[in-house]
Amino acid sequence: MKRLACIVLSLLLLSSLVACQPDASQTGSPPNESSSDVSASSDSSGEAGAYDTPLEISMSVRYADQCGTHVRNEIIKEKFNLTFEYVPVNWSDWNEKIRTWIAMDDAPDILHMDLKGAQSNEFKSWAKQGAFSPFLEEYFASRPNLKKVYDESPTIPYLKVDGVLYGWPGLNSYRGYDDRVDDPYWTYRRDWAKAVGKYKENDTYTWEEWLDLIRTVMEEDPGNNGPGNTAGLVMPPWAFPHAPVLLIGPPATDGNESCSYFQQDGVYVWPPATEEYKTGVKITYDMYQEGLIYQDNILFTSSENVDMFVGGLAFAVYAHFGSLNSSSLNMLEAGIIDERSDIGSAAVLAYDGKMYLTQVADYWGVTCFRHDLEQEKIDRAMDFWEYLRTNEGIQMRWMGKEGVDYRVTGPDLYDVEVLWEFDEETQSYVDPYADFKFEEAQPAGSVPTPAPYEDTFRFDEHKKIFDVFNSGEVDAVLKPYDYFISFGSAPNKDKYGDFASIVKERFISLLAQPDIDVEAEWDAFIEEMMPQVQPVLDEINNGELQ
Amino acid sequence: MRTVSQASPVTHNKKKSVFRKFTCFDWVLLLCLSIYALIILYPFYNALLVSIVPNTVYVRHRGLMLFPPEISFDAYAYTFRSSIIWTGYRNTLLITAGGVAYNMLLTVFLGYAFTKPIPGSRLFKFLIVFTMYFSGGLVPFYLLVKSLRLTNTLWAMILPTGINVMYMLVISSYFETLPASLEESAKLDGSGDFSTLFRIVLPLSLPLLATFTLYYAVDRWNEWYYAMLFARSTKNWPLQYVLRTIIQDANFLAQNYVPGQEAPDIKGDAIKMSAAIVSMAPILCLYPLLQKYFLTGLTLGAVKE
Amino acid sequence: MQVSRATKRRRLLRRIWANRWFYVMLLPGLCYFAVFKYAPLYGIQLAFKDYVLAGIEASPWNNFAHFRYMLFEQGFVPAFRNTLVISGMRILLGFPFPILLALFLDELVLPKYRRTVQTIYTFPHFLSWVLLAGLLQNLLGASGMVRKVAMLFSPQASETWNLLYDNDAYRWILVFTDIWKEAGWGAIIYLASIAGVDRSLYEAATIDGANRWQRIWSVTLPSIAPMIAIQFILRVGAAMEGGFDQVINTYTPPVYDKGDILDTYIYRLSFVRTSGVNLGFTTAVGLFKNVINFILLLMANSLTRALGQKTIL
Repeated sequence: MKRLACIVLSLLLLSSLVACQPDASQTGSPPNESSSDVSASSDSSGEAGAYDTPLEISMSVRYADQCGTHVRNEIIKEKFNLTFEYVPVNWSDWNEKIRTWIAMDDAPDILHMDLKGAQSNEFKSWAKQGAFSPFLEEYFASRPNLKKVYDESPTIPYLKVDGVLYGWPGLNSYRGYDDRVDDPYWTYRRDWAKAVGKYKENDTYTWEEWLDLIRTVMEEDPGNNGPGNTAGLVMPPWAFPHAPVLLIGPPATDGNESCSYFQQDGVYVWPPATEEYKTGVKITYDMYQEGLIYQDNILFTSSENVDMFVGGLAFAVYAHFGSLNSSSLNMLEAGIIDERSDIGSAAVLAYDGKMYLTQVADYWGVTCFRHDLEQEKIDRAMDFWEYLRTNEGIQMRWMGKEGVDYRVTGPDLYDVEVLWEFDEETQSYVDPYADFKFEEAQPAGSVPTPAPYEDTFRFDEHKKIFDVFNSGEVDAVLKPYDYFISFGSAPNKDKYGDFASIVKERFISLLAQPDIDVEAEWDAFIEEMMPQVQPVLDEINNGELQ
Repeated sequence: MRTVSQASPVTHNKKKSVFRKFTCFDWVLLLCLSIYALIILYPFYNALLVSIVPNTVYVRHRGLMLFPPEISFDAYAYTFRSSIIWTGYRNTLLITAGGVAYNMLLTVFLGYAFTKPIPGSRLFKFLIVFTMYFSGGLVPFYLLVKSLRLTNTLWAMILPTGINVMYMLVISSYFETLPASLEESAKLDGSGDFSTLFRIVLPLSLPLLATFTLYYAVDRWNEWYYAMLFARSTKNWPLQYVLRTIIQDANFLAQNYVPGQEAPDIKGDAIKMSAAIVSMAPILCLYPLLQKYFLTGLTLGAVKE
Repeated sequence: MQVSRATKRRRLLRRIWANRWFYVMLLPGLCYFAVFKYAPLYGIQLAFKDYVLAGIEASPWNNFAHFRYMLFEQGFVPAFRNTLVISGMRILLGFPFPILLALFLDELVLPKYRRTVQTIYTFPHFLSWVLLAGLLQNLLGASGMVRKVAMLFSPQASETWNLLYDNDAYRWILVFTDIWKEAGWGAIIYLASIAGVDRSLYEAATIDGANRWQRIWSVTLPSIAPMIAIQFILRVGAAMEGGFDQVINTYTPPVYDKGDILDTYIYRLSFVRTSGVNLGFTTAVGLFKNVINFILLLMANSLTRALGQKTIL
């Protein structure tokens, strides 16, 4: 027995020593050493065609395992003599990793981060401490497409520190009619609305009609889920409990980064302290107590809202339009609906009779260069992104290799013929590269959608909302995105932000208590909060925000 | 000669006679332990079902599902679609094998040395317990690992794990309870300190060694934090970090609003549960191998001989 | 005087030399602690500094700003109290449970069955709280099994069903689900200790006419008492850890009153409420918690010593 124990123990030790050796020798040197041996004295200054030295740039990307093997990477290698080393980040540890790398001066060459306006004070403090290499104005002289972004994006001035630009916004692609409006909205069961005889033309409902529809569907149960098993409204955790009233109502909103603090009669106010907000809380409370809002929505942590909707258990879900394609196909497959148009988006007017839509920032994701990055690498990366904003580059990002994946038929962006296989069911082309990612292109911004090959179901449903909004038949109000408030930095504001999570916590706590005077409770809460909020408001209104 | 042999815990004869001998106490015991096993098993069984039932079916049977109405292995296909899950397995096996050997060696040596009344041992012990509570935090630790050139190697997930002070203290206190007469007679036979440890003390401590091998193995198996900090390439990701990515990202996107970014079609809880099952299946194989050591007792034969 | 000091020193050196092989055994472990624990210890000063990119030395002292921020925000006092209460409940109920489980398992006479149930008991340990939160929702939520069963017995009582966000129930749910998850795993260490008990002691007790309760009481328990004592000290020394993973995945705003622990409070403070957290803040929080943990450990240590058991220090 003792001999056995000794043998096992020593074998284990030996095996570990042998096994780990190759890995250590493969990657034993720290990653930034490989990047520093490229001489910085090379004189290529941005003109295409001068890419003699092969370059490898390290960059933080999501889905790193799916990057680098795409046909697009061959094109980039050929055209720019450029390859990437993918340093992985995930949604859930993205900020943590970025913060650690910057603090330890161990960042990859290019940092792509999920930077929101409200978090920009940390970014600015890093920039001031010299963590990044600047985007100099001269970089844009020879790059007209990036120059256009530089001149036109409202985000650019807010990423400057002492007049120097340190971050590059990856522009979102909007479709002209939507005016930078955020895309989540109510997706509902059109077939159920028809089954109970309360369907409205154009999917447009007044507030009373909407509530009545939810009530009727829950009572009559057209989905045959059994008594009490049909949920009314479900929403993702980030939108709970604001979505049903506050996110689609008058501009007293939080829980959504874009609407913290807004101007009323020229003075900034804190949304929860307004009358509209209190009314919204009251209406939400009544809806929740009545059961129109699914009660266990409090417990949701993940995709339960979409799961319930796709499973045929919920009447309407607050979700990104992006999920409409897959949701409708999954529901068809499971036999929950008979055709895709059985679900769709509903244009719901707020309780005051108006229709509200919310604008968001024009970008997603900010890119920075490490402070000691060689000029050659900066130039090469900028050339690459410049190319990605040309028509040729956009078509390449959409589809891949010209002649293999698509053919250009004219000078316009959309003058292309797709050479992929056509799927009759979804009336779209089958993307052979669906499992590959091209994250290194993120800094150049999103490609315009829909791409020529795409399944347009979700875009059609999306557009319907805006058709109603822009039709002139409804009282349409756009809630603007306030860059000044979002990016502005001052001591108290940096510390507390917009108190959104405290408000949300209290709001949810109140929902869970039956039979209370919710308006009085709300007044008490506001009174309790104001001593903390007032200093922030003072900073904003006295022009102390930077 | 000294003999250390394994024996069954309590009398065990042929099966028939076991039940005949059952007292009231035995029946109550059997019943309680069985009920507790069921309470454990049902949610677990539920997790298994969630992973093999299509999501649309699962949400309709959330409350109670005893048999799968429909079976689909889509979730497993999704979990295994990426190659990093295989490299993840490889890395985790290396980390676990290497890590456990390294952990156990250090722990056993230290734990054994602390049972001896050698000058300075109290001070050392205090200094070590001190590190359970006071640490320099992330910054110097990161810089240390970086300066040791361990970044982006599997060593970064092995070397810093070293000794779990709690485990070491428990092992040490167990060594102390062993009869001193055994070691003394070994010494009289001319056995050195190392060989006493390996030939007398460790064989007598097999149940505990098996336990802490298991505890260490599971700790190393579940490693993801050092990977998050130090693995700069997906090639060096251990299994748990790969799976954590799948599970946590889905939650993150639901809880945080990201404008313009579509949530991926994650097929709900099935993916998460399949990920959990994929990750725990191999470590459970280790279990029966070690279990026999801590479920059957030892007889210290002929100690006084 | 001088002579005796010299002899003392010589005697000490002789003792050290006699135990040289034990020092060799100490060496690898001590090296590990020196390199990975003591070398980075200088970073503890960050608890009192605002970290800047230039490094720890260059970071300015901030006059306890991190501590003031942590202690004087609204929500600290209830979170601190909740942590202690929940930890206390966990120790009172959750600590003895694995011991009982191990004792009972040891008494089960069917070896194969015993092995099977023991394996089953450890299963939940491998499921993380992220996943268990979903399962809990399935079982205890509004459309969950427990409510459906409850509706059979009293339809009106279950009408306002909110077990998972009921302030009074939440702490109990925390404690019992934690027992459910970890007791089987925790029992392994006691099973191992019982397995290490010399079987001849049982035989002697049986010959003396002891029944099974008496055998448990007079042989098994005293034999594993040192193990229980040391586990107790270590458990108390971790009282400030209220089970972050469990709470963060299962709590909801309605139960913050009774369920918000220090770790979750700090988490919200640093990740949700404000934008960006200074690395020094994390160090300060760790230091604060661990000073209290350390004091509790020392107290538990002297308590066990007073009870005549082996201690760790």
